[in-house]
Amino acid sequence: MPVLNVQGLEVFFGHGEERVQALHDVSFTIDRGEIVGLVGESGSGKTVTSLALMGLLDPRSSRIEGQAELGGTRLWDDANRRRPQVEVPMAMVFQEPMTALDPVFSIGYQLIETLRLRQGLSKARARAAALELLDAVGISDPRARLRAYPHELSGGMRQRVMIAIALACAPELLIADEPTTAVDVTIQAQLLELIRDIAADRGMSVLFVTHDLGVVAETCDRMITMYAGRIVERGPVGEVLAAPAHPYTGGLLAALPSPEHRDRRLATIPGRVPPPGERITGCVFAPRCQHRADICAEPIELGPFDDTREVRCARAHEIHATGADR
Amino acid sequence: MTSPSLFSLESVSVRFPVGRRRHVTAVDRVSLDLIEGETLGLIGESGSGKSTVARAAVGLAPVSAGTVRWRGRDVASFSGKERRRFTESVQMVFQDPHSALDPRRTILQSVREPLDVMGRGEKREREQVAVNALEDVGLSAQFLTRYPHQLSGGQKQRVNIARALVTDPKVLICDESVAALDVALQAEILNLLQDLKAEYELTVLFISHDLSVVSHVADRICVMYLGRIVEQASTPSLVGQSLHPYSEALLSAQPLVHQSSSHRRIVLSGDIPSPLSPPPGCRFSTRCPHVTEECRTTVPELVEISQGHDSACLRTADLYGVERPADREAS
Repeated sequence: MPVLNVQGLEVFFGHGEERVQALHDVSFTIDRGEIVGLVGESGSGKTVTSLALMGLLDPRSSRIEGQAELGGTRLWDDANRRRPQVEVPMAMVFQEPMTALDPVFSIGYQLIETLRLRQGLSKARARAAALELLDAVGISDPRARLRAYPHELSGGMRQRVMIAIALACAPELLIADEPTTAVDVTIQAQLLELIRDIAADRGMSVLFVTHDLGVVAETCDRMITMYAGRIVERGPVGEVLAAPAHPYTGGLLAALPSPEHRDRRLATIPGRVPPPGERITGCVFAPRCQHRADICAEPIELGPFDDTREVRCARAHEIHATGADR
Repeated sequence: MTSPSLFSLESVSVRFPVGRRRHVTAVDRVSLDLIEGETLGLIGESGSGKSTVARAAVGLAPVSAGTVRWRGRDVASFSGKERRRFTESVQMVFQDPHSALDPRRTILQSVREPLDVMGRGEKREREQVAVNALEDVGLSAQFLTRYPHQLSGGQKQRVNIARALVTDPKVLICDESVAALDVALQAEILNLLQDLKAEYELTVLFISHDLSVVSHVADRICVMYLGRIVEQASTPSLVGQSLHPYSEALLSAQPLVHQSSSHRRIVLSGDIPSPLSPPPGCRFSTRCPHVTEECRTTVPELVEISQGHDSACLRTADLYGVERPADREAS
């Protein structure tokens, strides 16, 4: 029984003539305690997906279609009126902890405020819970840190505080949007370990939005590759990264530099992501794909590739058989 | 060092005042040689001083102590004319391609600007040089009259590279030049830099926090931590067998797509200490898993441990089975 169930999620921005579609029929599920990576370049729709689920898209400028359920509760009703987020057990951690924290309130205030609002705790109990949470995210001397302001903390510590605040919502689902992009690698290793441990200990599900395939390989159970607002491939991380079924995932993988491939040219993906709103009838990736054929002009849906994977590519089996994209 | 170094820093320190007569030492006695034709990678986390090293080298940050040498000569002794020639020969490409370009200038104006400043030749000639440079980085004539906001991130970074190339430099310093780009674009820019390096016969100082990028492009790598170089070696040597616990941790912290089963992750505890009050002794001692009492009190110097492989760790004998030369002499 999945914790999160997203069906046919579509997001439109703007009105009338200028309306553009940012997401196309995005459907996926996340099980309890599972970490799912959402991967793609900028403009692929991964952040729009997470914002839509969190209810953070402005209803005046955007329109959401499709359905999403968290633990059996619908995130919005048929009229697309979003419910107040406070009632839904989910939380989000953003890329830049300095802008996500309020600079004029202490860490303790922000943490206790969240605990009182989301869990209805009394002031004293919220304070005790705040200390526990700071301890759980690996902040030393939590009592002193409660009085600290965001600018007094390092980047890694701020992100730990953000995770603590997210945990204060007692979330069943944590959406982590590039949570380690702004921190250094040794700190990133600490944070990834923390997120993995918390997910395992609390049975919390995580939607992990990132552009870094290395991070996905280390952190996630399953991965979803997005391109131009569509899911193009999904499956267990190990299988997808060992032999990607979609040429786009393959291209992203081949573009990664590594010491083993020194002095060799890196594989690139020519062209660029089509802007949202561009009308495309066939495969969206076809203009940049080196395996393009006549069949790619036909519309293509996400379909099964093997027992565990799905792919949106008409030639996936052909390409895969020749191993041409490795 | 057998081959002559083109550009060298000798025990360079950079200190910034932070008020109340206090100073922060951003770069502490760093020595490095840039040998003609090579790509030297400089890697470190934020606050390690890697950008300050580059800025001090080109004169964008004040050198508090030590000497910067260009072809063996102290740059501080340069006359105005020599200084100008030196500036032309060393160019920089920065991290954020957008903020490095003037939003009110067209691409052609931006790329031509260094030549205008130097007053080189006729306007028409300067323009031709700029057009050629833009062509070399893969931007056609249609981009000349455009403004930065009309370009994508990758295109803007190409413009920045073209602008660095118009003065026909000998050394290109890339400070996190691909950090702001997506993987596919990053690959394109890295390829482009490799091509240009061959075409313009460039020597490159490549600064990055990303070990996989640095180890892809660099011939040699310097690892910095809290203002000091802790290890320096050829790329295969450093990646194959690093001789400093910090480099080891950095290597193991890199998230890898294809995990080998033998991969042992070292997760360092704690944060980088503030450069305002660096720990006495080895600067890595507060986070090092192999720390001893001696590490907390003795400042380890960077010395050659094995052929062309320098490390600033006191315990290389215990940890890696290679003795420090100082110990050999002492015993």
